[in-house]
Amino acid sequence: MHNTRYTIHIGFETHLQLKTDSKMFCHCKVTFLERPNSMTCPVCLGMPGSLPALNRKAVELGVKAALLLGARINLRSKFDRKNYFYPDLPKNYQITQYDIPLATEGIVEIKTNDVVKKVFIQRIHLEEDAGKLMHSETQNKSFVDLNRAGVPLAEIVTAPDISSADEAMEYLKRLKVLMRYGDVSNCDMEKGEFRCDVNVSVSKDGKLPEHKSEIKNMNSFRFIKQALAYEISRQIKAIESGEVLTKKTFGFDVEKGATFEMRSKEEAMDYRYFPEPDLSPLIVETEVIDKIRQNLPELPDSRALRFVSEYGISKYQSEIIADDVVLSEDFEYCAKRYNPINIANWVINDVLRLLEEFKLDTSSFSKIRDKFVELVRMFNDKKLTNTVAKEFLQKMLVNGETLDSLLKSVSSESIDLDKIANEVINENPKAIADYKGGKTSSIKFLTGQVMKKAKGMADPNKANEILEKILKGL
Amino acid sequence: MKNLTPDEIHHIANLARLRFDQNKLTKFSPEFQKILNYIAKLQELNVDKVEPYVWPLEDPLKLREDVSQKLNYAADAVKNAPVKEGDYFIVPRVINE
Repeated sequence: MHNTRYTIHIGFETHLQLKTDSKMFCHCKVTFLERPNSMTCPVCLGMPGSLPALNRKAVELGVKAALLLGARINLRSKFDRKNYFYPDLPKNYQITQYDIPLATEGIVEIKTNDVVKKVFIQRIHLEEDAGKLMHSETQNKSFVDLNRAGVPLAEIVTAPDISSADEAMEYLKRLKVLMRYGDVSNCDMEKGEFRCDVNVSVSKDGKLPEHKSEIKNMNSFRFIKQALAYEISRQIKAIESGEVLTKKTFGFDVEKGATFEMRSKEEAMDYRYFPEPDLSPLIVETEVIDKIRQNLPELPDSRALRFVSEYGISKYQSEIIADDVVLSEDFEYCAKRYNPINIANWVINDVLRLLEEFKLDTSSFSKIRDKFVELVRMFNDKKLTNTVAKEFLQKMLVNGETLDSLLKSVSSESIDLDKIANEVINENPKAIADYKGGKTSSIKFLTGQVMKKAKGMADPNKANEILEKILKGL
Repeated sequence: MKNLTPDEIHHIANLARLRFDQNKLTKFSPEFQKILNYIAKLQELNVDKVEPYVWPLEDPLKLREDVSQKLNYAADAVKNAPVKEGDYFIVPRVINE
C-alpha cells in the first residue's frame, strides 16, 4: 500500500454562508434563485460613494461559529481589502479579514475507526461573497448575476492536519453538524452555502512539503473524496517517477472524476491587501461573547448520550439521530409523546431511508411529526399492518398526503368487513371445514385473510367477531 | 529603497489594469520611483514598540441590525451597463480553465 510509505497532508478552507436575512454590508435580502440582479443596491454593486455597514447578526454568527470550534476570539479585529479584477466582484476588491481575523486557534475533534483526532483550526474570519457568473457555451460572453455579491460568509481554515480522505470526510461532516447545531449556517451544499477549497500534498519523509495542490470551490462531499483520491494518487505517481511537484491550483471535473490544472497567472496571487478604509476595527464586547456562549446549544455528543439515558434507545441509534440537529429535535418531540424505542426504530429504519431515497431535507419530517406519532401508535395498536404503515409514511413524507385522508380513502373503499368476511369464507372451504370439524383455531387463519384483504385497515378483533358470527350461522 | 525594474512597473500597472506605452513608461518610471522613495522615509523610523495603527479614530465600528429590504433593483442595476441581456450584465467570457 502506498499509504504506508507516504504521508498525506490535507487542509480545508471552508466558506460557510451565514444565516442572515440581509447581506454583510447592505440591506439587500439574501436569497436563492431570485430574478438576476434584483437583490442588489448601490453598496453591493460597488457604486462609487456607497459605504458598507456591517451586519450585527453576521458578526454574532461568526462569534458563535468560533465558540463552537473552541476558538479564541479577537476582541478587536479588522477588515481588509483583497484586490483583484474579476466580473463577479463589482468593487474590484473583496472585503475580508487578513492579518487580524475574528478568531484563531480552534479545534474540531474527529473520530475515524474509533481513534479521536484533533484538527487544528487556524483562523475564522468574516468576508463577503462574490456574485455568480454563467459562461456561454457558444459565444464569447459571460452572464453576471450579483444577487450573491455581499452575502456574508465565514471562512474556516484548518492546519494541514488531516491525513486521509476518510479523516477529511469526518472533518467536513463534523463541521457541518456543529454549524447546523448552532444555526450558524444551513450548510446546504447544493445551494453553495458550504464550499471548500481543499489543499493536499503528499510527502515521503512525513514532513509538510513545499508543493501543494489546491482544489478550488468544491461543494459536494462525494466529489471532495473523489478529488482527494485522484490527487493523492497523482502526486504519488509523480513522486515515484521523480517529477518535481509545485504549488498549483486545480478544478475538479465531475464527469471524468479527475482534477485539472487551472490556468494560473502569476499576478493572480498578488492581492495587495490593505486595511479597509471604510470600516473601523471591529470590537466584539466580552459581554456579547458571554451572552452567545451562554446560549450555545446542546452539542451532538451530549445530546446523543442524553437520548440513551433519557429515552433508552441504543447508542448506535442515538448517534445517528443526534448527528442532525433538526432530526434530533423532531425525534425528541415524538419520543415525548409515544414509546421512544418504537419512534427511534421507525426514524432510523424508515424515515431516514425515505429521506435518503427521495433526497429530502430533514425538515420534511418536521412537517409530519405529529401524524408520524399517530401512525406509529396505530401500527403498535395493530390498527395498521407493517406494509400499510410504511406505505402511509412514504405518502405522507414524500407526497405530502395527510394521514387522515389516507385513512379515509382506505376505510371508505374497502372496509366493508361483512362483505370481506363472506368473501374469505367462500374462498377458503378447507378452513371452514376444519372449523366445523372442531378446529376453532382455523378462525385465526381466516382473520388473517380478512386483514390482508382489508389492507391492514380492519380491527382484527372485530374481524374475528364477524367471522365467528357468520360461521356460527352456517 | 531599491530601484524598480520596468518589469515590476509593468506588473504593478497590470494589477491595476493600467496600460502604458514605452514613452509614458520612460517618463513615469522616475516619478514612480520618487514617490516610493518619499514614502520609504517612514521605514527609517523605529516602530518596534508601537502598536500597529490601522485606524485614526476611537469610535468603535457601528453595527447595522439584520433587517432586509427587497429593492427589486434589477432594472436599475443593469440600466447603465455597457452590455446587458435581460437582467444580466454581460462581460467577455471569463473562465479559469
